[in-house]
Amino acid sequence: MNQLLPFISRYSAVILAVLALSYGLPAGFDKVFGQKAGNPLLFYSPLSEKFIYRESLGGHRFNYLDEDGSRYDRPGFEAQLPFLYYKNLEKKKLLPVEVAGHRFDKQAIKAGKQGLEIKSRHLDGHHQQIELYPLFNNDPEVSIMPFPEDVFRFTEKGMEFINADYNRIDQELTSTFTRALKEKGFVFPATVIGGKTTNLKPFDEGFFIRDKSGQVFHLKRILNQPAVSKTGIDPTLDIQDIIISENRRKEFYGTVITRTGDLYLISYDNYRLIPLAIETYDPSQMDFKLLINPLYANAIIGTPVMVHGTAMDTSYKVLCNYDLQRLDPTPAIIGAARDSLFPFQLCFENPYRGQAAPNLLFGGSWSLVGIIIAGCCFVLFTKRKKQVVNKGELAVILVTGLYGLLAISLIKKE
Amino acid sequence: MLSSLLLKEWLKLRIFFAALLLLNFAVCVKIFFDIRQQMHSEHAEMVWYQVIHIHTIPYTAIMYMPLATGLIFAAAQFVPEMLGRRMRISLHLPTGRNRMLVACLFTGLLLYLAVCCMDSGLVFLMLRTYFPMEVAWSSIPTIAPWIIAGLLSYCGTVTVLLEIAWPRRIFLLLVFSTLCLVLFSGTGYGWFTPALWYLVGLFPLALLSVFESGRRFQQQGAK
Repeated sequence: MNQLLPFISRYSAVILAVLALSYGLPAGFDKVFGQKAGNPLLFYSPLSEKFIYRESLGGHRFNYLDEDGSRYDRPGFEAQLPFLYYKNLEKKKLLPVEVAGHRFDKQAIKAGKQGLEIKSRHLDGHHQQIELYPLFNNDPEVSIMPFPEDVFRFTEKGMEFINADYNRIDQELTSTFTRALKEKGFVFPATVIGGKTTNLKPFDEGFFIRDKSGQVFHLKRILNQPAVSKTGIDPTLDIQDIIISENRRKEFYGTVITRTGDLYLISYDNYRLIPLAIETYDPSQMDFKLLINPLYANAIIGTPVMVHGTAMDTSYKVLCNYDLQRLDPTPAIIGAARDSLFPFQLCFENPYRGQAAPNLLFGGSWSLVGIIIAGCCFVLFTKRKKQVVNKGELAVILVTGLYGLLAISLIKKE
Repeated sequence: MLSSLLLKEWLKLRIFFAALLLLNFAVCVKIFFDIRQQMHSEHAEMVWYQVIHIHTIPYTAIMYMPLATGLIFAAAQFVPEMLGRRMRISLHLPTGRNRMLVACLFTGLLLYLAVCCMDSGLVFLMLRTYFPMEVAWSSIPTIAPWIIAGLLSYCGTVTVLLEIAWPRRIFLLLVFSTLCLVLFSGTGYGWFTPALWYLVGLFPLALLSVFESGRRFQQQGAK
């Protein structure tokens, strides 16, 4: 053991050094040389009936283009999107505006607009969430929406309410709501709970809850009494999350997302599911946006390299698709230098997760060049000192490149 | 011999242990009164909402305490030994170098963990008093990376203090500082939960690396 300990001890320090360097050096390099461009904005223009976009070149410089490559200036770009920039038109007294043979005034545009954004990092299982939720009390005689004095949780036996003032279970509410759910055939516990937990919304639609058998129930609290509806949503759907988005249009309650990437809107028409034909959507690594205007629905999904747009009519029938490559403003030489220096990067952050996601991000083909140079430097320096090349040390450098070279050189074996 | 070494380390650390225990306790008391005041001045349900859904952590005052505790314990144990190279005397004791280091590290880490257990336990009890059980449990994976940062700061300080060559000393300081910095990244409760076991794995590596500096000190520095 006494012979082995120096070896283990030294290599422990080397491993720690490689971990620290692979975390710190690429982050420092990006801070100095990295250039970040903002997300491109992709829309479907109801005037030209084409996709039109704004891409960032970095440093507050933008390109305004459409899918055919035609260039616009900023006012020209905004003029192509009258439902989005209608307030500009109002200031210029250009409302009502005529689009596709229909005239739209401010009220008509406002009434026909809705936006919904689902970030992958907010989905169930992609972030830490304590499973306690506020169930707002709907009182028709109260205009504001006060926060309830309790939160609820689902257990194996029922739906429990915990009073915040006393930090104790409210037995009365617990038994009332549990009984109401059981009467509708709810099988405890809940497997998916979807609802908007803020009072910054026009009204409250409560929660959509998937039970153990896969059935989805709609639960509201009206004058402190439960209002439970069995939605009839297909229980075989492998639902990952239900995102509720109350909107005065009252067309749909929100969105159902399955683990296979299928998206459905939950219609106000007896909970009928409206499928959204976005074939490339992967909820584990893509964000989703749905922008609705009086004539079209525009679905945008974003990945680190692409932005995919789907234009649909008001019945969500797909009209056309467009893929936009994200612009990387970092010069190619900087990218090659980064890959050569850093064969991998230890990373804990992931834009699609709201919690740590430990990962090793490997560089491109230039990393091999960097590793070979690091190995050669090590052999040359060692031979120059008239020492024998240690195969174990060389192996570490051939796996970890510059990190290993620094660690082995600075934590030398005497 | 081992018991004598443990006694020597205890005598060296007991004042610091008492002071750090008191300081950590005082920070916990501050957290308790902060939460109590917030509960009385705001609606309790809004405080719950902030903690559960906005991911506000009401015990951030404790965040850097384990790091500071680890640093102070390591400094209290090894700075006097390194001043005037008194460590050379310890290395002439009739026991092995590694055995002596194990005794030192065992004492320091035991006292460090005692302080951290008190912190975690008090935070858990405070949260249990004012919040549902789920919130109290969420504090454990939230505090765990801060405790691991303290373990790394302890081992890192010992490694750097025992190291004799300045370039290597600076490099090791940068390595341990970076690793500690990683452990304070992220936001909200339980951010590091999916990576917690990887982080725990850093501790044995940091602990083992102390022995390399100890070996180098005896072979080159204690002449």
